[in-house]
Amino acid sequence: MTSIAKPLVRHKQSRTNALGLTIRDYEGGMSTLCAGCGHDSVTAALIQAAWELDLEPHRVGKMSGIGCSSKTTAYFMKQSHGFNSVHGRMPSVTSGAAAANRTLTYIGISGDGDSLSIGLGQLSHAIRRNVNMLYVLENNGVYGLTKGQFSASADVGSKSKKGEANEQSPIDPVLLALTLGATFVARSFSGDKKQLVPILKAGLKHKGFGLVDVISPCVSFNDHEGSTKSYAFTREHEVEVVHTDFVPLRREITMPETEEDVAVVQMHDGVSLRMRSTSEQYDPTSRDSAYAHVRACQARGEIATGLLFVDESGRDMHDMLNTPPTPLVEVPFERLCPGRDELEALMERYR
Amino acid sequence: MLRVHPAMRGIVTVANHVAGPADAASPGRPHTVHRMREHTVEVVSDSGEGAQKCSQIFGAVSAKMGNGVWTVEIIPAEIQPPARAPEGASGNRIRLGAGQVTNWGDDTNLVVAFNEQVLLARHRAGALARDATILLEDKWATDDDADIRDAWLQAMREIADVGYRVVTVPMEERCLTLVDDARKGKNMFALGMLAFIYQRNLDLVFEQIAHTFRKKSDAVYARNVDLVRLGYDWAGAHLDFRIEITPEPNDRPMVVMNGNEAIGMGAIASGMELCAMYPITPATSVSHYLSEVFERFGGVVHQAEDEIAAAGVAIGASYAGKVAFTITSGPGLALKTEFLGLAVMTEVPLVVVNVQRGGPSTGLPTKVEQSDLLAALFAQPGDAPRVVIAPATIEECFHVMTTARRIAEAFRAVVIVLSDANLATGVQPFPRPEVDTRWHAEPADLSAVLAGRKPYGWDESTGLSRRIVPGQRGGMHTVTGLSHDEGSKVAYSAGVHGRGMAMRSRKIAVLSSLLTPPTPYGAEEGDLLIVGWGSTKGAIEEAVDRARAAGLSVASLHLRFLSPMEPGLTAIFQRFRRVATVEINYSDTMGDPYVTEENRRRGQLSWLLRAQTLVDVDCWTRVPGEPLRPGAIVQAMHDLMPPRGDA
Repeated sequence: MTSIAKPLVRHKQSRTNALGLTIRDYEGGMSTLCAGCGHDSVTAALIQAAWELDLEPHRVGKMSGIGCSSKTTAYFMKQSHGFNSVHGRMPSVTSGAAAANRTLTYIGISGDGDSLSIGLGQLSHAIRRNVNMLYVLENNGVYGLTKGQFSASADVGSKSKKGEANEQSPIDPVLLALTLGATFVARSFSGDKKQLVPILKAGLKHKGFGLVDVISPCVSFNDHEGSTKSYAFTREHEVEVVHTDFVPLRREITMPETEEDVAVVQMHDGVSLRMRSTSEQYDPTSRDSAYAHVRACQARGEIATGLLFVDESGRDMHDMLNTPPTPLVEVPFERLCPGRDELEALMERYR
Repeated sequence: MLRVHPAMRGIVTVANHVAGPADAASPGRPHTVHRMREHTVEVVSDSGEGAQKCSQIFGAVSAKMGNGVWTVEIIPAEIQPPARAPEGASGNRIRLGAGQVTNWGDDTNLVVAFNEQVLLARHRAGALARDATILLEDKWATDDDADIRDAWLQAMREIADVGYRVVTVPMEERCLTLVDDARKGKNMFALGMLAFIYQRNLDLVFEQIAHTFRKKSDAVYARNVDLVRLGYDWAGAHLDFRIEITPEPNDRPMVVMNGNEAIGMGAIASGMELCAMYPITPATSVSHYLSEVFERFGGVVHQAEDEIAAAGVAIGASYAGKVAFTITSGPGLALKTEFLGLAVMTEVPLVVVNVQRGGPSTGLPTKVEQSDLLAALFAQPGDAPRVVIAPATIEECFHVMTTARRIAEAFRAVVIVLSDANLATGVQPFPRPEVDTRWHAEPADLSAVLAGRKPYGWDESTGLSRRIVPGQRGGMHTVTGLSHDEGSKVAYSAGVHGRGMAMRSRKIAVLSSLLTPPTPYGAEEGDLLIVGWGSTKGAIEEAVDRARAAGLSVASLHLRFLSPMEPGLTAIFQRFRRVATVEINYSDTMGDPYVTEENRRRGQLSWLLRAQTLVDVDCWTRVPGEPLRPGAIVQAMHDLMPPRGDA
């Protein structure tokens, strides 16, 4: 993607993570998006999350489709591999990559056009298949690269820059994912890095498909009065319904095991999530509760945010396909292919 | 005894090669044994009555006994078409020979029909020899339903004057002595009759039944064996002829399978272990076969949500270090176009198997056609060079997969394999492939990338480069469908764009330089050269033999590589006075309204050859929804012959 190389200046006092890397090592090229674009804040949160999780950069695949959001894979983790595929088709390419090498961390970056219009089918089936990946949906309600047409996530009544109101009902990725059986569903706001970083970390550690819908305003085409995806509207209507702390393994001992009104969800690798609901009726480990709550917020004109639902017990694509634990790319031919003798035996049937 | 319904008096005729009327009195009566070089048999029934199982088992047993065999499925497009309807005819044609059989031949010599309506379908299709013997279920002649009796009579009138020998058989009545539902037994009874007529080894028949019904209970096997014996004994007691086709000696171990099974097994032998697909006729059975085998050996058959996603999954897997393949048919190829462009642009190796069927659009889902050639080469906005190979036989379906994988990998290219419905469902014995360790695929190289190596470090003269896969240390880049330079950096400048185009195109030229020129069949020079591709090879070459025997100066040339073209074609063409393609696709006929030499739409290979060689290549094409018959090709050769004295 178009990007401008950033000079890598190392400060002696820079903090390093367990791999000895500074946060600068997780950065990418200079963004060419519009100044103030929500996507750049999401990029910054991703850099922070990856650095804090000590992800080995070369073992990360940054996957994207087409659109402003999909361009952002160029702006983080330049020491990682990436695949900028075609419009709406990133989920299938990632499914294939995950099938061939299950040990890499896949970060999919998409937008509301890429995910909810041209790519709605692929997104839905990646959720059903529970592909092991973090799926960040940078949601701004418009097509930015083609100058501001409404997308499928635009709310009814939300106005375009020219003043036209959208009349078609929106597709809400959170409700969609809950319906389709997603095992990790979150919503956040690009302007709330404090909330977003732990959610992204949890999504990266989640076994299965981790959907994070991030309201990420488009400053050029959808940040005006009358838009329901503007900074001002989102700030005003955002309601954090679950507050999530991400607890890495090495800090676990210092954290209290349980606490009133805090749900602790154990993830693989020994890390855990501490989720505190802001409402007594809300249980982020219950799909029905999450669905009802998000719908209720929507009816009140609120945008429910937080890690809304998580289920760590789900079977992912590899469980369902019953694939071997060693990634296909590393299995030697003799073991994977039946080999000469077995082929002969197979052909015996056709003698 | 030979049962002849009263309605059929005067219809039953005796074919020349069949002995006179049966001696009804003696059950152990003598049979005239007719020794043949070849014979073609069909079993047809309503869909769901098992004619296909019967003929598949018969074909497999015949192949195991050393006969040359070619089977073609007769399939209705619907899963449950109406009963007793010509359009619902379902079954197989099996051509048996003393030596190798390379195509389905011209017409059928013996038919087993479960009702007169499916028989009519074959009669109307011109599938039956004028002197064919017909073994026909007789229950319909005396059915309780007057409409059915009437339909029977009308059918008998329709076929009365042809010269068929019709033998009515109480299949239903006999089967009901063993089973409650004769619909589930007739096919095994028919198999028994065929086993008697063609002197098949019953132990082999039972072995094949055991294999075919291996997932069913022992009771099913025992019942089927009893039904086969019932049919065998009935035929022995009531028929007056048997047919003997002595196999030519052959020491080579053989395997018997259809083209889709050969592609599946070829894929395994080639070291590809990820197949992404979406169900589509007639390609799907490849993945059925693969998932059965992969369950034992690892590997993934990924059933995607649609054709597009199937291509995406294959590309993703190849990107991550494998060479994956996807399998489809025409409508699926149309949908995958977008991803083919991405694979070409990103140089991710990809093998696409297209089992062609009749088109455009949904077309003829179960029938053969060769109409996707130009789509395989060109269906893509922008210039997206790729490799197109067409196997010509079922044996080649096996080997083409290794060739395709190796080219895809070495050239970082998209390789399209064009099979078709004829190869997919045809069953043929071929020499058992000797697995060669050179076919094997190495696991992806995941070692650290040396500093300075670029993801598209094109060799200037060949356009080739070594890929870098995710998980490797170093060489980090983002693969993109945007125009890019060696470093995968997006660059819109004209120079960079043109250079990438040239590098991707050059690979095709390099591959072309590695191919050997094809050899004409029949003669090196002469009056007429027929050029074909794909599954028509057997029929074309048989036609060449027959036409040459009749004194025509004709030869044929069969192409496997369509992109790049095999080299040396122009030189070969110049040794013939006329060149024409024979293909199963559409072309305008000269003399049709408005059709001129300038606007004539030609057979797809013909179009391609004219463009590539500047030779005036004519064409003879048909879209009958079935394989070409050698007899029809011989006729076409007569028509295409340049007039005497034409230079």
